[in-house]
Amino acid sequence: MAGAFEPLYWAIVIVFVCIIAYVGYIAVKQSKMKQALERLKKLK
Amino acid sequence: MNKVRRKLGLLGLTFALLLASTYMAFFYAPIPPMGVKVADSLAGESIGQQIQVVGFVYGIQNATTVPSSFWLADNIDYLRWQDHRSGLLGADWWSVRPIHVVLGSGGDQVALTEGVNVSVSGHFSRTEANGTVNMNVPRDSQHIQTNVDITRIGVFSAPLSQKIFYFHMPSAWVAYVAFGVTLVGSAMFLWKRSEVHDRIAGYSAELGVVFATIAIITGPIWAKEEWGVYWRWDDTKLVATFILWIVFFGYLVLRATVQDEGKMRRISAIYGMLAFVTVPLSFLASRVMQSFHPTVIGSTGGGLSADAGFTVIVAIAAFTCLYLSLLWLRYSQGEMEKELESIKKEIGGED
Repeated sequence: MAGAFEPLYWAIVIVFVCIIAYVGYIAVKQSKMKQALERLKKLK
Repeated sequence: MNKVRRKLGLLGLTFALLLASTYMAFFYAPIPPMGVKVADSLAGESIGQQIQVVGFVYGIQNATTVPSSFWLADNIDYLRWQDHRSGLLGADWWSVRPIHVVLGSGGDQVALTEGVNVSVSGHFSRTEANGTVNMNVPRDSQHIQTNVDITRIGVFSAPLSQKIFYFHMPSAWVAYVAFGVTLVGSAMFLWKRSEVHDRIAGYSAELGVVFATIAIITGPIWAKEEWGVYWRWDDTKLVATFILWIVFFGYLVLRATVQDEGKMRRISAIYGMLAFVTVPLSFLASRVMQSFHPTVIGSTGGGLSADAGFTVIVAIAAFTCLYLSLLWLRYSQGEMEKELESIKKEIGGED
């Protein structure tokens, strides 16, 4: 195990990956929605 | 403008608390002293019987010098550990590692004799750890006493692993809180038929699943270090938490797949309330049923030192703020979604 990536660091990576993935999911949804909203407003 | 300021304030607080809790987990939270407790059942063994001593190491000493793994990964007697878990956890729950000490040299078992002090050294480590087991067998007793003592112990391969706790436990806690918000939101929706409550319930469940995922992944990473295995299907706490995760993932699938909005809201509100049953099931699993999983918040106090407890509180505050920030972010995005829906309706459902 010596020299291996510490399990603690893996755990922290997992925490950040999960949070960033969720924020990314919101951001992508938001940008798609913004585009759709602008399109619909123009249509209206 | 005020709304933006509040949002930035909450995000700033979240960021500061996350930084503080990570710093504290690494540099402030103490690493408890190492010790050994021997299986209580030794008191019931008969003189002359061939026995194996199964000890438990808890805590880590000299965190700065921890090069090697301590326990016998291939030879752990989990059954014995399970049998005597209740006598061990509580006061010294952290970094509990089973060690399998075979009396005698070279891994041989020995017959115990009255009045003999048995000393065993070495070979209860996978690598470099050394230790001595002094076992006192009193003359006037038909039973072996449990005063096994390890006087010198090697060091651990993963001293930092215990600190996973400061991320794992707050994640699980926030997941419970998030699912609690889903319960309240669902109940409020059924009562008031308010769309806002339904949306909050849905968003909170999303976040609950995210935090439960963190807990479910970080737990096994720690378990591998502590128990030697990533997962145990015979552990009630682990299985109950996995069921909780599946049930709430199902809730999200339900919300995403039912087309009729009104129907979706009604069904998911009922489902959300029923699904909450898995939260106490998961929370209480290690308290009322046999589990390897340590109990932190319990009648025994969990054995957290003041510094460790303070670190946990800061970590819980950080994760709670993170949850609130993300919920707010998701809710704001939901507002836009609502606006989009209303415009769609206005122009006749055109996309």
